[in-house]
Amino acid sequence: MDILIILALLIIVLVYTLYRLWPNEIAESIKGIVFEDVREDVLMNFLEASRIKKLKIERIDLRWGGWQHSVLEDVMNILSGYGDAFRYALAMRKFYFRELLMKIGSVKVVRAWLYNAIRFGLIDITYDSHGILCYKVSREGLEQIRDYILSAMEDLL
Amino acid sequence: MPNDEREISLRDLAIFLTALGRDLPKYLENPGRIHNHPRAKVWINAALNLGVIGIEESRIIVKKDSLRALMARIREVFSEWISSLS
Repeated sequence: MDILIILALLIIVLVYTLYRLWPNEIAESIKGIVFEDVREDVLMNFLEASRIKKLKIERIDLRWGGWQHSVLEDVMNILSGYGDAFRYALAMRKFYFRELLMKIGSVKVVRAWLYNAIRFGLIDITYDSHGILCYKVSREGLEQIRDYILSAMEDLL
Repeated sequence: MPNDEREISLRDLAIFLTALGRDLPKYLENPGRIHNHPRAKVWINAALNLGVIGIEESRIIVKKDSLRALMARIREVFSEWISSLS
């Protein structure tokens, strides 16, 4: 009787193992249906979306080219908008993202300000002694912004 | 934080330079047109705070000397900021 029970258990284990090893045709066919008609580039975008990418920021050459080509709105917005981010950054000179975030209180605002400030050369990306990313107010960038504003005002005289 | 509050208001400067858009030089040449601009009230307030315009019998007078003085103040403030970085 005991042998029969052991044999039955062995058969059950064997059948279950075979069942698990058998190719799952339904799963394979679903995978085929989902990706069958999708273009390669769409699939690549789908894969890329989950990857963390470094944002490329293009620098803007800040040279006064007359009022009709002015970007003063952006420049003044960097200086006076974004919850006074510029003033906090200037007071700290060199700072971490988190430090500015503590002053401003909004990740979105800090991120947007940094993006624009880097674009206009006001902020330089740097690393501390431990290799941690931090930001520095650029002397040259501030000089360029000053010259840009003063050139704009000279055209008003 | 730099102590420049008494010297210059970045907010007023931003409004003065941007509220009327890229046609600001044309508006300053013919200040009578400023009242027609949708942002005239805000701009006038900012310009008055900066001291670069005056109002006489509801006419806007652009004070070029004050504008020059404002430029000198901006230069000073930026110099302070720049020297604080080194």
